[in-house]
Amino acid sequence: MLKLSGELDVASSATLEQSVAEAADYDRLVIDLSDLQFIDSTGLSVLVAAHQHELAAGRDFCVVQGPSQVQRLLALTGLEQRLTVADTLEQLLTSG
Amino acid sequence: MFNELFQVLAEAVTVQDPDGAVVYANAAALRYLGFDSLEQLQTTPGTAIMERYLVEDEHGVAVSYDQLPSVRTLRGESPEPLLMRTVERATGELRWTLSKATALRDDDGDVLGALTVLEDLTAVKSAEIRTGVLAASGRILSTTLDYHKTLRNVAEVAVPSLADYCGVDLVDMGGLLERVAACHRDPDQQGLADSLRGLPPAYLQPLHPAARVLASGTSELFEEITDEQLREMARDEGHLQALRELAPRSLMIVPLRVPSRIIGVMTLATDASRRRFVTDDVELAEQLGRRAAVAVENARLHTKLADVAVTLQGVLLPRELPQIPGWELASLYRPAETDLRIDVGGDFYEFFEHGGTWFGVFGDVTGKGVQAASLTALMRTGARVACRMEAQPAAILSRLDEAMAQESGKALCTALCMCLHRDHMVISSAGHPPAIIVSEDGGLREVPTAGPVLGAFPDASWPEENVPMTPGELIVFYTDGVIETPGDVGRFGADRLRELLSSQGNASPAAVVERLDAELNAFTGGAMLTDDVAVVALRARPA
Repeated sequence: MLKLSGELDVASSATLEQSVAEAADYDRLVIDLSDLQFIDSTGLSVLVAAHQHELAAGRDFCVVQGPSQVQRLLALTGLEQRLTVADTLEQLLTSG
Repeated sequence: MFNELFQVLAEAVTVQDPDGAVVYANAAALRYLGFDSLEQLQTTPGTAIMERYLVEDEHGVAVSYDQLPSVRTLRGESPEPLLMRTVERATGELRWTLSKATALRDDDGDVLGALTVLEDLTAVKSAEIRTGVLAASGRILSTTLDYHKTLRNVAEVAVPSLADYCGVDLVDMGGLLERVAACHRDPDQQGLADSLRGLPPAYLQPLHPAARVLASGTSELFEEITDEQLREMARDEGHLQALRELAPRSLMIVPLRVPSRIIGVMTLATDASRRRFVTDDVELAEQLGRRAAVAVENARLHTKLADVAVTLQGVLLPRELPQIPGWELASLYRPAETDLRIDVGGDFYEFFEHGGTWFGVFGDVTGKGVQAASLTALMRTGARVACRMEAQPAAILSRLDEAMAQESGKALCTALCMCLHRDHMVISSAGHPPAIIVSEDGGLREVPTAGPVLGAFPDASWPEENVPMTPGELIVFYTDGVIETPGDVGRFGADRLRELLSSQGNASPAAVVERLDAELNAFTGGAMLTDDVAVVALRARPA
């Protein structure tokens, strides 16, 4: 699980990309956006790339929903419908 | 006892009587002055010894016999030590000598003679000059990107510390050698140096020493250049005449080398100083040449890059908005600052006509700079082509999605695509912030609803929305760079944008865009933009 905080933008996206690439030995990747204050389109592109990568590898990929700006952008760009998005981490864990 | 003491001293010591005759010289002094025995020295007049050398002070001013510390001491003066730069006429050897003279007096204070110590400072001064030349070259090479000026500066550093004359030639695109800088120590000879610089670029015979240096990368040193060798260098009789007038004694040609190749040569010569170059001089000149070459290469690359930037901008910037009959349009395009000074970004817009109907595409490719901009070209051209196949906003977005998925790696694109009619607009969104419609009374509507971003999902489709519009209503498209622009009080934000637009119901599109630009500027406090910003405002003219 990767928990993000602060801002995910052009400047910080490379770090997340790196972390996703380094994650190993798992069957489900969760990126927790609940503490993320800001995301821009470059940040979204990293989420999409992770989604495509996990899909190709046959693994689960889930996102924990973030605050309003993050929600708005996920909804606007259609990611909300296409990624597995949970409202909270607990919800995700109990649903198995 | 003094004799024994003086004999073991490294410094040269001489003692002269009040008439100037040498009464004593230690072994070091005989060696230094080039004599085998004291008798030989004693039978040679001081002025004759002086004649063997070209003597200058450290500022390059000639020193006469009367100014020597020993001579002045015998005249009853108390001279300061004198640092002399001497070149032996016969051999061209350069030496730096510090001469200190002390009066020998009797009990009454009358001068009995002069004791002179000559200290050889050649090694110290050479190192100092070397450091000075390299330090000066470092300073001047970093000051300008105009490489002709850079090379003139290099020539001026080399003269006079290293040589009396310095010329710099560069190989041009056609392989011709062109003299780009020339400097002479003697202002009277500068005209001659300039005339050499004025020669047209020339192809050099393979045997020309400069051609050999260009081919081999190895410096050529002519310690004592002969008329025969001058002839080899001359292109014609006039050139030979000029070279003879310059009358070089010693000449070296060093390569201007960058890692991949040799871009030219630097020629250094001595004449008036009669100095002969030694291998240390070649080494210093080579270092100067390397530095100059790197500076020239950097300046050239910079110039090329600037050319590339202009070309790229022409292709990658949004075109000027077309005149659309019945519509008023205005746009704002401000790419974020990047390291390369190429002002292009990932935001784009394009308006085009098909079958009498006008279409527009407005969007934002993720990322910044040239990489993002290259994809905007794909989107702008792609939209035009797609429109010819199926003139529907949703279908155009679908084609752009395919293009994006094929081309971009992990980059995404958000976009709005619209078809303009006087009483309505058909509009489709691919994850792009909605357009804002401003009615004349300041009321706002946002259209259309969201659709998936381009390049992300293989099975996506895009809804189309039919938006009724009354002529006179203003519609504003913007990229997220507008609302995400950071300032001292957070981000610019959608609320601030809406508030501003709501007050602009009656303003012209140009005035709205201008106002928004000013507000953004004020919001950032004039700071550089961290994200691209684009806005297009349009309004159908009331019939």
